This record gives sequence, structure tokens and C-alpha cells, in this order.
Amino acid sequence: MNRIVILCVEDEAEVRAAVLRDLTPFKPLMRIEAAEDVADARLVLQECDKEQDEVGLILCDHLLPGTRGVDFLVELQKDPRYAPTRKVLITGQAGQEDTIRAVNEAGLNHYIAKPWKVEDLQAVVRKQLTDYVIQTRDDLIPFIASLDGKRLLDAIAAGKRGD
Amino acid sequence: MMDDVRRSFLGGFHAPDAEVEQRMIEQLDIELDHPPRLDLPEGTVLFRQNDPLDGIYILIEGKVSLYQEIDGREVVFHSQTVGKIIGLLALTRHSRSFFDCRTLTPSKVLKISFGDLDNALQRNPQLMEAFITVLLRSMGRRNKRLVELQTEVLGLNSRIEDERDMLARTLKELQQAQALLVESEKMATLGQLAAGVAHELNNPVAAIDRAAEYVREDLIALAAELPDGRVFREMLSRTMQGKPFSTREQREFRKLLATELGDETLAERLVAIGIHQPDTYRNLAGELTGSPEEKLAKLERYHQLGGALRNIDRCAERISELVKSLRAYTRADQADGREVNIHEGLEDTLRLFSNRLRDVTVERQYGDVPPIHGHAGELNQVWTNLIANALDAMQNRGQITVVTAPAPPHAIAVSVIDNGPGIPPENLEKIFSLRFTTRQGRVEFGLGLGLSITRNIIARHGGTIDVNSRPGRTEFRVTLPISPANRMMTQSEEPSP
Repeated sequence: MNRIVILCVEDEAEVRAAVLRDLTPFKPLMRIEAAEDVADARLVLQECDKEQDEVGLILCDHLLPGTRGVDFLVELQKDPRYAPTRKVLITGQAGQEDTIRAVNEAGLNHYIAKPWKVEDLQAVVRKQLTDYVIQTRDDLIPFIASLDGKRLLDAIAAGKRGD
Repeated sequence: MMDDVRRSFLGGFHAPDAEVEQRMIEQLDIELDHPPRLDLPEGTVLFRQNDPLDGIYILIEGKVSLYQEIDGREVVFHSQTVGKIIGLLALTRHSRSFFDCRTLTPSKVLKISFGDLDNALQRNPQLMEAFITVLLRSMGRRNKRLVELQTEVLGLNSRIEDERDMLARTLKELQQAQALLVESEKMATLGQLAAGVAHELNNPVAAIDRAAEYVREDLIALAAELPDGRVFREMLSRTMQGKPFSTREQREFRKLLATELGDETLAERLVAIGIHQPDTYRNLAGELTGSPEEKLAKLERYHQLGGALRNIDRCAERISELVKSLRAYTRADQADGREVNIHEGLEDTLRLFSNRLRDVTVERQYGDVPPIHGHAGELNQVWTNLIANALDAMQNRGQITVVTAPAPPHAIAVSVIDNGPGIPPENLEKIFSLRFTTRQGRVEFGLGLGLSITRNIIARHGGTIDVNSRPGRTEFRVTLPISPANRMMTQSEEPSP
């Protein structure tokens, strides 16, 4: 279907509910998925792959049961399919070492500390998705309304086709 | 002639000192025609080190000291062992004195130039014999004195080394003691802070809890006044009481519902608000007014309200549980010698470790153990150390088994078992001894500190701790007497474990 997926990986149901609700403004345009651990997130990736939807943004907690968030992001970075995917950590508990690894090896795009503010989270998601569509999509017009319209128009003017 | 000299020369070796010295002075007097005696008061300096000497002194009466100035101090080399001839070494050192020389008592000396001495010795074989004998004996005594000095120095050196080692040991012990003090002071401060924070958190948590309840009551009252009131109330209670599904289950429901409804977007939105059956949706929507989109939006809003309330409830509950554990854990420090419920202490400790227990299965095998007489705060520290060690050993992944059981007749046993890699046999004996290293100016404690504190606390309670380890299973077993009366018995009953 070629939709863009936002995947939220968070093990605590209450926190997950909060992130998902904060993502509501992006809902009409994007497919929003949630996973409670890395194993579950891999299943979501498989499903998206099968349905030909592409993961544009991952919002990932670090302290997850089983595989840690940073390890998952590093793993994804090595997979060419998910190299363009924007990667964001939402965590209160990643140590300095893990965070450095996330930046250096997972190509981490942003770090959101818990607790977060709705506007901040939405601003980060908007910016990251804007980056993603400019990088991967030819047709940017459908995204102007819900993402960063000005940057998208600039990108169109700068040479991306707007048809 | 030579034979005579040699015979009498060797024979002279056996004569007493005084006799040989007397003979030497008599013969000098004969040869040099009674040279004048010098009377010197006490403290007269005859010569200084490196002074050029043109002759020797014969000490007829009194005492002198031969010394050198070393680092501004007078170091006496000879006083008893000077002998009668002074300036001996100048004879062999190109006429330069080797020592400073000063009289210790009023003294009488005879000064003889090297030239006179040489002539006299050449002329008079008896003088030669006596002089050489006195010379050799003086040299011998001085030599012996030097050997004694050397031995003394060696002895002093080894004493200094012993003392230096002792000082180094004492210093290290002091540093350890200080590090322990600093650490325990820090822990005490942290404990007070934690207790304070826990106390302060109580009020806001109670307020949140209460506010959520009021909002719920008001919402239900409000619902009674709304045309959609019944649906509102049902959605509220569905979300507040229903068991939340896992993300995986939700995706499966979504697929099923999408097939049944033939509308993927609708299915997604319904599952998100906890509706998995087409009938449920039809019934609820049937009672609402407005367009299908308006109906769905209402259901979503009601669900979100209920979900938010449920989340507030659950989170407030979690915070207050944590606060309760933290307060119990820290407040336990103040209570001394009460009845301690072992299971409560273990549970409080486990709850405070919850962020490290995500990947750990905790299995509790709690037996029927009575409360024991002891110090709850200290025992919590024991459980904390044992659980922290287990988590460290298995890197926060695996299984911890906590076992409690009566240990008849008068004790209880608590075991903390992990399935980590185990402790190498060569380290087993060392783990209870205090070890620490200083790295980058910071004191770091290893296993040693925690376990040595643990053992001290258990010993104060009259109990014992044993460790049993192999790869995949390490058990620390703590045995504690139920009351102080049993403590005495436990100790006297088992002198040899």
C-alpha cells in the first residue's frame, strides 16, 4: 500500500497509550503501530514489509524486556531496508555509554527524555518525518498539510517534482 | 739482628697494653730526649678533618673523641677505641687527618713530627716493636669497632624497614577505614534523602489518587445528564475494568475485524478503543445519534477518558507502592530490635529493584517462617546486597529464586539463588573479605564490601551465611536465629560448623 509507518516500541502499557495518543495528529496520513518489546517490533516490521508499507520513524524505549532499545536500533541501522528510517529514543534510563552507541552506531536522529511534553514530541516527529519524506519520496505534496509544509515547499522548489 | 727484632716483636704481642704503651713512651723519651708534654683542657680541638698534619699525638693521659660532621651533626666514630696514637690515619693519607679530634677530658699529649718519629723508629728496634704493637692493637680495636658499627647499622636498617612496612600497613588500613566511613556516611545521607523524598511524594500521590476518583465520580454523574449517558458509562467501565490486550493480540483482532467488516480503517479504530466484535460496535453505535463518523468519534472520546483515568489510577498505585516500599525500607533503619517479618523485607527490597528485574524471573518459595527478632533495616541491607550481587553476576538477565524456610529448632533460613555463571572456586574463600581499589581518585568497592558488611550484619544477629556455587547455580544461604535467646544457643551449639 506504500504507506509510511510510525512504530512505537514501549513495554509499559500506560506510557505506550500516552505516546500513541500524542501521535493522533499524524494518524490520517500515517500507519501507526505499537509493539511492547523488540520481538513484537520485529513482527510488526515483517507485517509492514509484507503489506509493502515502509517504516519511516521508530520511537523506541531503551529499557525493554529482552533486547534493549539501542541494540535494536543498531541492528536496524545495519539493514539497508531500515537505514533511511528515522530513529528516535524515548527514554529516561539509557546510560551515557548506550546513548553514545546509539548516536555512533544506530545513526540516532533524536533523543527524547522522559517525561516529555506533547508539543516537543509532536515537533520531533514532524521534523523527522519531513526529513524522511524529503529523502525517500518523489511526491511531497500530500505531506504538506500535516508535516513541515514550508520545508516541503522549499524542497519542491529546489528540484523535487511536485506532481 | 733481624731475628732478634722479629722474636721480640712477636713476643711483644702478648704483653699487656699498658706495659707496651709504657715501653713505647719510655723509648720515645730516650730517643727524642724527653719532648715536652702538652696539657690540654677539656674541649680542645687538636685538629679538624682534612687538616694537614705534620706529626702524630701520643695520648698520655685523658680521653679524646674522633668524629666527623655529617649533615651538620657530629657523628662520633671513636672515643673508647681511640688508643694512644692519634693521627694514625694521617700516616696513611698523605698527612691529612681523617677525623675531627677533640679532648673529652683534660688531657696530656706528646706531639711528635713524622721526621722525628721516623728517625727514632729507625734507630731503636725496641721502640719500633712497641710502636708497631700499639699501632696494630689500635687499628685492630678501631676495626672491630667499625664491624660493630656496621652490624648496628644493619640492625637499625632492618628495624627501619619493619617500621616502614608497619606504617604502610597502618596507612592502608586507615585509608580503608576512612573510605568505609565516607561511604557509610554517604549512604546514611542518601538514606535520609530517600526517606524524605518518599515522604514528600506521599502527599501528591494521595492527591492524584483522590482527584482521579473525583473525576470518575463526576463523569459518571455527568453521564446521567447526557443523552448518550448509558453508552458513555458503558465505555468508561469497559475501559476501566477490561483487561488490556497485548499489542500482538490487538493486531490479530484488527485483522479479524477488518475481514468481518470489510473496512480496515474502521477495524483499526475500533480495536484501538477495545471493541473487537462487530455486534458490540453495532449495539453501542445504535444508541448514539449523529453520522457514523460522529458516533465513532464519540466512542473514541469516551474510551480515551476511561483509559486516561485507568492509567492515572494504575500509575498512582505504582508510585504509592514504590513510596511505601521506600519508606518501609528506610524507616526500618530507625527501629531497633523488633519483630521482623522476613517476607515483607524481601518484598520491599525486590520492589525497589524492579527496574533491574525486567529480564529476571523471580521465583518465590516462601515457607511458613515466624517473625524474627532483629534489626529490619540491617536485614534489608543483607537482602539488597545478596540480590544486587545475584543481578550483577547474571547481568540482570535470568532467574532469581528466593527461598525461606524454618531451620529447626530455633532458626530460619533465607536463600538467594541465581542461575548466573557461578563464582570460580579460587575466589570463593575471598569473597567475604574486604577488598577495594582506588581508581582515578575514586574509591570503588567490589563484591568484597557488600559481602563483608552482609556477613557482619548476620553475625550481629547471631546468624551465619554460606555460599555454594557452581556454574548455573549460586546460592547464598543465610541462617538467622528467631530470638536473642536462641542466638546464644545457636552459637554455643555449633562451635564447629
